[in-house]
Amino acid sequence: MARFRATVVALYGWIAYRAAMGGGHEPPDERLVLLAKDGNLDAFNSLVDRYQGAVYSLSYRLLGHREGAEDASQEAFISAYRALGRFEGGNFRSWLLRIAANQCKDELRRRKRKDGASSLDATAERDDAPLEIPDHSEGILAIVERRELSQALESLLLALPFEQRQAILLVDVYEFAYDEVAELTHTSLGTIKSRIHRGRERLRTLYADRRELFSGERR
Amino acid sequence: MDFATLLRPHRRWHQLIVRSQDGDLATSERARLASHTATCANCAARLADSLTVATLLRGLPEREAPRSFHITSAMVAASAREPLPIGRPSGRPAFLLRGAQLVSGIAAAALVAVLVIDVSGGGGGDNDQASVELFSAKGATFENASGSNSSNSTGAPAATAAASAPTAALAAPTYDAGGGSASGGVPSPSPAPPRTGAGAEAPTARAVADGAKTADNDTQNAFGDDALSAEVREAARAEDGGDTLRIVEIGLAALLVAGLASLGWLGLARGRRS
Repeated sequence: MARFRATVVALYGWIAYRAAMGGGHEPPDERLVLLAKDGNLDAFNSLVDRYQGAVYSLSYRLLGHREGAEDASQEAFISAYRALGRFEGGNFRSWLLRIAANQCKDELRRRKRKDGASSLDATAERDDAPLEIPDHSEGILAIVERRELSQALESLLLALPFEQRQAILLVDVYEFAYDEVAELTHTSLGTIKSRIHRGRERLRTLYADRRELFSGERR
Repeated sequence: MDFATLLRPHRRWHQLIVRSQDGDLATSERARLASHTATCANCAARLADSLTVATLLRGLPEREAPRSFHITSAMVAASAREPLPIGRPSGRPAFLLRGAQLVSGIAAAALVAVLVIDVSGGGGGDNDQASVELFSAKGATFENASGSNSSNSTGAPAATAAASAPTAALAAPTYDAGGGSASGGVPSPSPAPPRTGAGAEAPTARAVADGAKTADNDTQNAFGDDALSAEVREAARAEDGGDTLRIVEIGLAALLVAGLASLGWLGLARGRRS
């Protein structure tokens, strides 16, 4: 009986999903979220298709390496699916990115425990240390295209301590409000303002020191 | 002007430059910054760099995902064995923990206060004292009542003796009755004025007998209605107050135990989760 019921529910979900996807236009997030909340994995994977670029980008920029970013992104989507019941509407993309940001922090902790890689604390301690950014001198001439420019900027971002990097990315790139970031990071608004202020100053200094990396941008 | 501003006179301009990236400078602030950067090359360069970085950040393109992050039922099932790692833990345990702390604290403070009142004699601790006082007060009243009765009811010593004996015999049961009323019985609601013996006018044998009977009645009346009733009520009130205090103490103790048990349970749950 339970099996029959599960089959009926799955069939209903499939029909609803096909109906939502039909008609030649992309269904809105809300519709897919509703279907996914009913256990429709296809609907959720449509949301994954829609936002995996944003989630992976944030993860990569926060962690600085591809492997960790992939793990964090995958975990973020699984966590989001499991936590869909808690999603009470609003911007699904922001909600997903918040989960990804938290997942990245966990991933960083895991990696610290695993192989003693640079940790949150270590990056925080490095805040006042001399700046070190990756050497791009070999590819300066190549950094004229937009893609390369982005990489140059990402390399500057990675020179920031994790907390500042997270705040800058969420506010200046993903357009989160200050109080949203404060809530996400479980810190005060004042702390977030301070992190953003210091992060921007540091980023500007880095940019001024390595202006040649961005020569393509001036063209 | 503070020391930091003296050392770095352009500090406030630098702060304005950083804030300008949010685009929420007031018109007056923007005008002041513009007029300053028109004359200060250093701040102008700083502003230009800040705006360039802000533009670059806003235009940072999305990276292409290196693979699909589609999830499968197997992935969900595997992760279901672990607690959800996202976000902060639900607000409910934290709220419960705070609530349990509050309840335990209040219960402990109230319990201490009630115990202090109890021990210092403000309530139930007075019970025994009140009983003792009641006991002696009743004795005194009884003696007064029988004394006045004997002196008023007869002119003859025999009658006095006859009147005194049964009254004395009556003392113990009446006493018990008083005690009974003090521990739950209803004392006489309206105190009557003291009455004198009726047999005082005819000192015959019958009159003596009557006088003795009357004395008995008078004694009982004086005992039940007049002198004792106020004390009995007082004692009953003290006893009731004592009972109330006991109930409050037990209730507070139960609340404290419940609060501490909740704290322990929530602490364990939190430890397990972390």
